[in-house]
Amino acid sequence: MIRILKYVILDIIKNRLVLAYAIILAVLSWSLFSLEDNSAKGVLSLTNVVLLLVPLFSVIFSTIYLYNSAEFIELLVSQPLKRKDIWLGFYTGLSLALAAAFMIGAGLPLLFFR
Amino acid sequence: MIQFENVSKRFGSLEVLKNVNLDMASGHCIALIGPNGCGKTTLIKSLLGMVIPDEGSIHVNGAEIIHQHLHRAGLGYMPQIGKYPGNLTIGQLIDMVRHLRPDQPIYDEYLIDSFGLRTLQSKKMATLSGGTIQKVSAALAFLFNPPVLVLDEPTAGLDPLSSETLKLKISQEVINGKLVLITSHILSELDDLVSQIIFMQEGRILFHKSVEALLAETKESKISKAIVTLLAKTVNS
Repeated sequence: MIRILKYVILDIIKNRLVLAYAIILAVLSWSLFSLEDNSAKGVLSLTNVVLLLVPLFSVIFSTIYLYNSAEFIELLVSQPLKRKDIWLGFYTGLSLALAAAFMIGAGLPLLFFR
Repeated sequence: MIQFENVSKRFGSLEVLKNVNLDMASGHCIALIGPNGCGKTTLIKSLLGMVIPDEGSIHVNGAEIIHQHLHRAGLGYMPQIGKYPGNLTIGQLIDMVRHLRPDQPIYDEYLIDSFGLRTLQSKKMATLSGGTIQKVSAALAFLFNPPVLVLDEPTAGLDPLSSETLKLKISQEVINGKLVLITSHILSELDDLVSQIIFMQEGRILFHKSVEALLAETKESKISKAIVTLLAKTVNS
């Protein structure tokens, strides 16, 4: 599982869509924090946006990524690997990469404006 | 080496494999041919464990393989259309497949060298042409020196020089006592390669014969002509 995970993350990190996602999150949280004089208010409006944006992007991106990886999964299935490991590798790889994008995009401004 | 026993598979109301019985021995290059949609790919996929048959059993080296995964260490598969993660480079992809099989540390890098893939190592998969991707697929299939090779349309999309290299490699591996299973629609290129022919039609094995027997029976000199003659005979009778 770890071996698949490594290469899934290597592939996703260089994906432009994930980079754009992190930048959009960063711009959004930065501007929301700058607009509000009270950081508690900023967190509240950021929560509202993030609650909608993050699940939407995660679901759509994962679907597109898995769909495009169909032939790659075929290659993995023809290797001596358990199917469970292949799915776990993809799942954790996607989760970690998207979580990292969120941490960088929304987490850093949060720490900065606290 | 590989035995199919009464293998059946249906997708909904469509019966793709009907009671397939096959016995394939090593040291042969076997061509799997038949019209489109006759079940060739399903047969290959059930051997690779991508499709699980509804009935029957498949044995590789005497061991049952349905719902197993370890037998795939002895299989090399070259897909018809390979597609790999676009942001990985050729070198990374080859390294990844090596890491996926840590218990097979002896590599056969002949194809990587003769296809010139070393000079392309740092190219991303997304930027490669169809033929180069085919070369990568072929190199990956042969990398672990597996006793069984499954090649789905191996020379489609390859330039004449590379396809000659690949054919030479295939016949070399057959001499080394491996079992090579090829599907192809280009019958003319099979002539100097294969030793046995399996012809499928509508999910059934029409015949499984050695090339000599087939040629003797139809009194032809080329595989393509022999099959046409044989098919005309079955239609007429």
